[in-house]
Amino acid sequence: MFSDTSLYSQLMYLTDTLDIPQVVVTANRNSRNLDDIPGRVTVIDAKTISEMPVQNVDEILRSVANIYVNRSWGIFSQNSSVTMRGLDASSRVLVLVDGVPLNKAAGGSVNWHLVPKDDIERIEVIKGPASAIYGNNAMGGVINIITKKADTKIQGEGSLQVGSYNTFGAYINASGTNVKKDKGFYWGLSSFYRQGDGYYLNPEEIRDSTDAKAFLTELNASVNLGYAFNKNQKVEFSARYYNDLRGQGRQVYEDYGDYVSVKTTYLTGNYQGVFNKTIVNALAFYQLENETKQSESISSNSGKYKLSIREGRKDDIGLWINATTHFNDRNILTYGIDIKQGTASVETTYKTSTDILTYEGVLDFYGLFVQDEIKFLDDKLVLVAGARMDFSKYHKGSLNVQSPTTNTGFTDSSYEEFDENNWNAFSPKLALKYKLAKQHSVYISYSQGFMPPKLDDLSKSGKIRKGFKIANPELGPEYLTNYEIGATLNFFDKLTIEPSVYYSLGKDFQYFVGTGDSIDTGSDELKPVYQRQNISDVEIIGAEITTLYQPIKQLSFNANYAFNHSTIKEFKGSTEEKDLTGKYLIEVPKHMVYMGATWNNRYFNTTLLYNYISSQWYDDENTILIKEYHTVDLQLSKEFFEKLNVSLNIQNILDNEYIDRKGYLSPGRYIMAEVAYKF
Amino acid sequence: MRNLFAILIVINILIVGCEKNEIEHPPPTIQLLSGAGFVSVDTILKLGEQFQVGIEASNPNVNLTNFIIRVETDEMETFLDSGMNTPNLHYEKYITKGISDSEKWIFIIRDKDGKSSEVSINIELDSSSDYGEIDYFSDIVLGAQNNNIASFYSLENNTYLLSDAFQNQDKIDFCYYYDLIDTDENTIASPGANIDGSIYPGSEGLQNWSVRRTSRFKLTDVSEEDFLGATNDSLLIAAHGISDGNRKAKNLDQGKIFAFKNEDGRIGLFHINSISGTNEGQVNISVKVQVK
Repeated sequence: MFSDTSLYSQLMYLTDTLDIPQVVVTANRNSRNLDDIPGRVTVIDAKTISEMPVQNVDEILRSVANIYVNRSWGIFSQNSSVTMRGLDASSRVLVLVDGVPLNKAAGGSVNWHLVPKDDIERIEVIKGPASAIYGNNAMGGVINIITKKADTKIQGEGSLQVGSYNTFGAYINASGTNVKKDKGFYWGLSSFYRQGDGYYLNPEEIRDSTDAKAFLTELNASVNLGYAFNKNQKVEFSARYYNDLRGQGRQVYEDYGDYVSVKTTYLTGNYQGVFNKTIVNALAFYQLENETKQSESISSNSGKYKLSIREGRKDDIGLWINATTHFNDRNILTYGIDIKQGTASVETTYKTSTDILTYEGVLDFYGLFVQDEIKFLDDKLVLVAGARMDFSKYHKGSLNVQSPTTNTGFTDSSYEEFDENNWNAFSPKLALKYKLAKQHSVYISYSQGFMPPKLDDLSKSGKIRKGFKIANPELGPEYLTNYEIGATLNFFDKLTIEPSVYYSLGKDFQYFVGTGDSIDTGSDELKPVYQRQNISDVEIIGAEITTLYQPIKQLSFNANYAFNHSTIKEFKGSTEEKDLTGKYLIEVPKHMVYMGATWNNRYFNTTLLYNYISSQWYDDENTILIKEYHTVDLQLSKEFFEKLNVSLNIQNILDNEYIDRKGYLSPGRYIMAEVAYKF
Repeated sequence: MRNLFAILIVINILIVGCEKNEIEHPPPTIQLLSGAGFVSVDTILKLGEQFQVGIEASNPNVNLTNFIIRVETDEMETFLDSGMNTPNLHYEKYITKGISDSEKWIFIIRDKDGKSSEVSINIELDSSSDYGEIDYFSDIVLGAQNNNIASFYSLENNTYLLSDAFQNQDKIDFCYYYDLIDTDENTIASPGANIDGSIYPGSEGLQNWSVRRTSRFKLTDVSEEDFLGATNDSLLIAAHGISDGNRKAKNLDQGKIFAFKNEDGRIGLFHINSISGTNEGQVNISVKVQVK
């Protein structure tokens, strides 16, 4: 097998370390023993993933303590919001696929549909700020999705799915390797297709003739090719393509009605080499996302019909180079340079009026980092100290308003070029781990993270739900400082308990604030004008505990609980603004509970999951509460002849309907039957 | 079997890579109706004279999505900006000749592809025009929905309680109420407006009217002095302007003056003399309106 860990394994062999425990590649951007990492790290392996009754990658993360996955429309959701450690907004979590960043500079978000769940070998989750080594977005933590690689000459899998709401899906992959004597090619292909009629988002009693089902059609394909020159050097290339069309629950006249269609192309190249005591890793990546959003509505009051189409192109291109030098068994230095550029060009054309709005912008990122890991006291004490400096530049920002009407709220045609905006971010880290015994350890850490401003906030002006938003080209990054202490306790190799407590202080958090102006957007009342500004400091007091218990090989339990008290410590808005000091951060549940049990017996395999999400605030002023909800999910599966697998997945088995922040219904109970064949 | 899997995936990827080409369509067509009663060529009209325009527009390839009427006088004003989604448009409208010496009426049709076509006519003001006579009705008191005073008004200068108004639906131009649901507060609306059913409930409520006339209102910056001094319809026409307003005059306050045009095309102004209370309150207005 040629995996991400192979090069490091060879090096460890050279350094007389043959006993390699569980290895993770995310904490140091190179392979490290999980035991040596002074922080909270969770690894979900392929077997666990295959036993989970989930439909998408992000749902796997519900099993990780203190990750909140908000996919309120199930498989029909346009995307998923994955947040961590008491922070809202998915842009505050860095997501990687095989070490390559997925977060877009335009909006900071991630297309969670880009990787089918069956492509995944494992997922590594680093909790808490990791900007000292990753820079942008690694504020709440880092999620690294590691994809499968072939370990035989040729292998593959195909599956068919049939589910609720007339959903049909098919997945196929094939991969192989001819690496012999550390030299040769390896390759992989995979594709996933799914379609479903969907469901009505509004309850029956408030539906009107324009309500339509939130349908789904999606297609995913990927190719990867690698070549190993020798035992120390290899290159890999991969290409992923994703295309979907998702109804948004409303149709007046147009085919598909309100819909969003995303086409994502994701190309990566990776070189890994070992030179003496140094491992070099170079990643080049390019992500292109073309998004089309059609919106149509007809006013029940005035009968006024509106149709608009937004077409956006978002490019992210980068080169990350890092090296890890093993000076000796006890001193490992990791250092590197990251370069990334994100661009956005988005045009909204109003078909039922003359307005055309176009905004553009470019964000450049340059990061330098170094991190040293030193072991003391017979390797019982591990000290990790690191720091990273990031330099960013916003430029080529512009907003073009053509032939405006009250539909957009602009009074005149205009073209505005925004001034450049530069900022720096310094992200230190200091962490210490002490191994009390082979099975027990404690750690303490101090780290900082930051999230850069998004191009959407720097360049975009236009109507938003609560008013009218104007661009803020002077917006800067926000920062989070985290203090944390935790332990890992293992008893008899059967019970593991992992508690952590942390205290985080956020500075310059980005919030919408009113400018005091108002604007006529064609409705009966004037709309207030808002702008995203670095306006608040936040405080998070949090704790989490994970318990894993495996009394016998066939039976395992996993339970976790997370608590977050996330409030605005100081709101520095103008006196005209409502003072948000003391208010809770929106979309952060105070309590989250997850319990899972897996039982594999001679007849079938069973996984039962329970999830509790407490109530959370919808609005900054904390006046609207989104109700708490529970879900229970079940998977029953049976393998035949070690090749054929038949499974039944039931999500939300109790059909517990809950309402999302926009007031839309969840899909309720979702049943999916799957037949998979491996060769 | 294994190779079949690989071939299927490659075919899938190739299909994914193929994009369909966009097809170019001609722009929509638009023409002025020229039948009896329609003005379709440049014309000279007297001040306040009504004329009818008709429009036919179509595009068999791409639906029409936007119909705009602009009026060019000394400046450009948008008279109508309407969204739609249809292959054909038929539009008729009675228009009142305004105070400007020359008006260029431009009718623009746009399709979903953003392609457009337009036609226009010039309407000149007859130099022999005289300003029209007006009626002046002062101190009209209307009660809000929970007040015993009549809430409904016709420009024949009659007020009606709800039960009487129900019997005279074809005469009612205004109704007065206090809006507790939105932020409109004190409102004079036309029966044809979207008024919540809870404001005038019951079998005689607006929801059950078979005829709901529509007047349109615009807040003006006319001074009380000018309003009181108006002896013909020149101020009324000038204050009303070219474009029509909304079906509701909201957030009424003492001293505000609104222009209006009722369903028959009569243009006028009303002045808020006083206003008090909420849903049991009342308003006192004075009206100047073109004679019928």
